[in-house]
Amino acid sequence: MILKRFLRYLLVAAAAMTISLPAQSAMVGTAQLQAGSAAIELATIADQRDWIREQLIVGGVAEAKAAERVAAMTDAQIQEVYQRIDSSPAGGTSALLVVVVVLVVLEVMGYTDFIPD
Amino acid sequence: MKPEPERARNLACTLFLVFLLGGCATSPQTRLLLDNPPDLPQQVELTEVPFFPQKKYYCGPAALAEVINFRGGNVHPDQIARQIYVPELKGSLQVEVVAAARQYDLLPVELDGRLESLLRELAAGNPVFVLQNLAIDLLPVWHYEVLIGYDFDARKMILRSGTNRRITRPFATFEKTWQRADYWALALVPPDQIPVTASAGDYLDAAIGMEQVGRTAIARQAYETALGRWPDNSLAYSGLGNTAYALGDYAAAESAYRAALERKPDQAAIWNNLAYALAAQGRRADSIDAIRQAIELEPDNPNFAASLGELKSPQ
Repeated sequence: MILKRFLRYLLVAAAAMTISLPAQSAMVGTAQLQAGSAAIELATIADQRDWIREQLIVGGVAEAKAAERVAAMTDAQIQEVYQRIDSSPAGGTSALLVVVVVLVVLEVMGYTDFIPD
Repeated sequence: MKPEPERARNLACTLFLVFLLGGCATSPQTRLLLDNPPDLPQQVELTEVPFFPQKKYYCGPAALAEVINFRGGNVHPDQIARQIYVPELKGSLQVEVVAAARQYDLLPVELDGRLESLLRELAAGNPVFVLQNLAIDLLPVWHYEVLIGYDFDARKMILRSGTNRRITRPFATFEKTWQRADYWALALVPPDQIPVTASAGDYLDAAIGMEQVGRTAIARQAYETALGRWPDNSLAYSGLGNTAYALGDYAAAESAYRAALERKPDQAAIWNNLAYALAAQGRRADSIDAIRQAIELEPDNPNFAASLGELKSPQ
């Protein structure tokens, strides 16, 4: 399976939390306090979130469920996925699904089966 | 469930393990551990961790269900699969495992990657959710499992794994398979607990994550718990302030912000938040004093100037 080959580049790890939203609202959020000057653009996070949701759908997750699942991820997690993609040799438009594999876990030996929805 | 592939899969698993046993050259952490035995019980087994035999590729959902149900939740792996399983990948992403744990009000605290920490958590009664790569870097075979104990005399870890209620794996082998998964391990704890080996930073990461996904009351409780262990942590006070504010408890927010500032007075953003907590209590003059402090500390930050404008204007 092609996906497997990329896993080793993309795999895991505990990434430090590095980001959060810029202070667009008047209160400053805790994640942003923690991140300090490392804050990134809100728009960027939103785009990345959207992209990951699309990848879940490509990966066979139902649309409504994919939205829900991406909503359950923090900005830091979204960013974590992205940082790995940037540093991986598998980047590029043809590797969309591969990229979601970041942090994926495959179980031993393959026979295919799909989760009933 | 089809018996044929099931057997094939178990066989494959076994072969990989045999391969590993032959191939383990060095396991530095294991050696260190055996040379300097920690002051812990010789044997620990958390037998009360429930077991859900894994179906197909559901090792993530099964392992997660085991820990959640151990913590008093009531959830079936199939339910969790709908939250974390990606059919085309025949597996689950780590970020989704973490996200799912939050939805059951458990703080997913990443451990520090030390073998000894795993033993310490187990001795403290915390099962540990781990990722393993049962094969090699080039051809990884990922597997989520739950550590439920160890036997120091036999030098073995005890795990719930896949279709096996109980397996053991030598420390040295476990270290290798864990190392190939970047030493990824999670302790999942309710917000009134802290994994014994967690640093303030790792614990607060988990609390902040909980806050970010809108589980505000749980996050607030976690910040309070953090302050019980690290009473001078300014970030924990700030988080406590922000969650109290979000829950409409403005007086509690005020005192948390003041406690944060007492420890780190030069945090403009906390002065800013304090200003809002004061304004919410109708203390307009105090509020404007606070925001002026923020501006004094960071005169070039447009956000604080904007805050001043907002706080000065009549509602």
